[in-house]
Amino acid sequence: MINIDALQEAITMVFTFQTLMWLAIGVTIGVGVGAMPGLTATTGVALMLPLTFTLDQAAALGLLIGLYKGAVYGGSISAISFATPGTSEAAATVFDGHKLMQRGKGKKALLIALYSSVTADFLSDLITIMIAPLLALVALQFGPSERFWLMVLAVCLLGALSGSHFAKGMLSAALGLFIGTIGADPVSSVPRNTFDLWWLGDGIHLIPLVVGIFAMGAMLEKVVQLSTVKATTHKIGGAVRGLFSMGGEGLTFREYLSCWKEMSIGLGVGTFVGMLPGLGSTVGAFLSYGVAKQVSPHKKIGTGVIEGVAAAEAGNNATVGPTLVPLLAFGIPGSAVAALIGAALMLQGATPGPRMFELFPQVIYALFLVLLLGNIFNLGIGRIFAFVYAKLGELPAPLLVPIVMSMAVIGAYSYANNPWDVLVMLVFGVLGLFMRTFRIPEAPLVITFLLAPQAEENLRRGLLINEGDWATTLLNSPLAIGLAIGVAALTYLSSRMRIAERMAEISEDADVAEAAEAETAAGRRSND
Amino acid sequence: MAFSGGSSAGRRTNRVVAIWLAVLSVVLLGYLLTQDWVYDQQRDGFRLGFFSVVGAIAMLLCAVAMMFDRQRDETTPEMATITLRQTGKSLVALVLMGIFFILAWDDHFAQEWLRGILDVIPLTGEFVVWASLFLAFGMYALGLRPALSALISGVIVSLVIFGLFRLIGITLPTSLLQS
Repeated sequence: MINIDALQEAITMVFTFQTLMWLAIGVTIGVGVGAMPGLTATTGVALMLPLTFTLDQAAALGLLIGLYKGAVYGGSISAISFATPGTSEAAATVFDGHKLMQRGKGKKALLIALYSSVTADFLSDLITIMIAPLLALVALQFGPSERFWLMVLAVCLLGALSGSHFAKGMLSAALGLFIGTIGADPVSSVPRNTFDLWWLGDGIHLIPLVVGIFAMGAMLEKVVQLSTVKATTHKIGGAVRGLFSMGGEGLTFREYLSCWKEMSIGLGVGTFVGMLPGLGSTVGAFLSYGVAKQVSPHKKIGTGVIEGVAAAEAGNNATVGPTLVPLLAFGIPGSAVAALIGAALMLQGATPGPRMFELFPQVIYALFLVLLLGNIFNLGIGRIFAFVYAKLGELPAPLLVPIVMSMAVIGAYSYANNPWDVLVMLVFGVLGLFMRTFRIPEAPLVITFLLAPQAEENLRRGLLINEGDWATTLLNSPLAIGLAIGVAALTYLSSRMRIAERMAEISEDADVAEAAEAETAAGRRSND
Repeated sequence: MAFSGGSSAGRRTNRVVAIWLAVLSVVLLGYLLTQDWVYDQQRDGFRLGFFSVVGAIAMLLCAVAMMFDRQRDETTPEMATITLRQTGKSLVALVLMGIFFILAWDDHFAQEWLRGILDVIPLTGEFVVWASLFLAFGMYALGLRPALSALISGVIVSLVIFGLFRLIGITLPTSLLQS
């Protein structure tokens, strides 16, 4: 049932100059972040998160969701132009996109990437808008023990599907749980686990944690990579001079329509993958590309055809909206970016979850409107500036790394004007570097960190209701028992059947191809 | 992708790293178990340290699992190739960012020893000055050439950052650009 008053309020929140401006800024930054190799949607959203506390709810959502949508699409620009995907989700686009580029059809490839991204993204947003409220209705029937087990199940699923090593995924989640207990406990506000440091009494704040792990960690990894390329000189003139220089054959409406089957595959696969915690847009892109290749062998996907670009791009952008479904319906973020968007909502005073549909329906409607409007902005900004962004991929990393690092310092500090937050951010930067080097996925850490207080609250509420009886608290309904069995089964199957490894193989096959393509491209550029 | 091979890779397998992680987890768990607050019972009967201890035990179990699972002898490519020098450089970069923060936001630091240092350094608390210097140095150190390009880029970027943050209502420390 639509709440008309809330919808009207959401419309007045979203259709303001400020919200639309921040949405446009978000998409503009996002496409740039996606187009620049080394920066990901998560890094971009983590860096922008501290700024959202100065904005109102709709503008904050506009900035972050616009950035996310833009970045997922933007990765295709450098994938097509240089065979160097700006983000891992665009790696599948390299196969056909760059071959089209080499044949002088770069403009066509960039346009089908944009149109298929926006089409699948828009349709998957509509599916999200239909499904999330229905699931929230179901979630509202859950009691504290069901909610507790659901969170444990989500964490296990994240551990099983993030990265390629189940134990590493679960280690990351365990670390998140431990860090989440630092500071006051969520029920009685008694300080604990502070290592006798007064400034930890309030706990670890989310913003320094995510900025440190995602932004500072990524930049420290870049410092390591750059220091292996000894005394390489990078110049910035060429990138700027080459702007606006791309020409070539465009895309006809008939050609766009001819990709309907691949876009539909991308939409279906991406939507499903997006809703599952832990998988993400890279798996969405590769599964969609793989399925499209199997379904239409006569189209010769992989040899440089627009259908291959359409399948990959529809597959990755179709995950953007659905990744918010577990967050909105159950209060459980399914990906790192969803966790950051959830954090932005919390900073704005609206805790994501099924109760949000009752307590803050206007924010939910505003979010839905922003999701849909983001596609229009993505289409406009991508269409006008794709060829400018194509040159961003040539910006040298030495220019980028210090800028992102200083933005991380400013972001960590500006959120609460607390110098200790900068220290916390730097410490988590080291942890981020270690996790990247040892390939421990970061998403389970951040998501468990966010879920830990909620899980504790639910468990303790259950204990209070059941007068301290643990067995009754944990297994008080058939659903709670079913979820507990699900957790045990998932843990067993993940460790025995190597689910994480198999899912990761999909992405890593692409990594190999991507590296080979990048090598070819680098060789070609040095010859030029 | 993971691979095995090479003597340095052999010393950095998942198993070796897992042993270190297990040791750290045991130390953490030992520390927790000696803390009084862990056993404090709240009004609802819940022990305050329950989740912290569960987290530490889970870390230990995961580390032990990594020692014995199928991937125990694999080494991540990044782990196999990273050198002490590279790690040192990244840590230096991190420390420099800390110094940049202290110099650019010096109002926060009242510690006597630190004030003694900050008071003799000119222009502390000037974001644009220190951001320009640190950005230019960072760009040059990471390979941007010529040096003049790095310097000009540093100044331009720090002014742009200052302006953008001011636009969104976050004032970065300055007295030179007050208006």
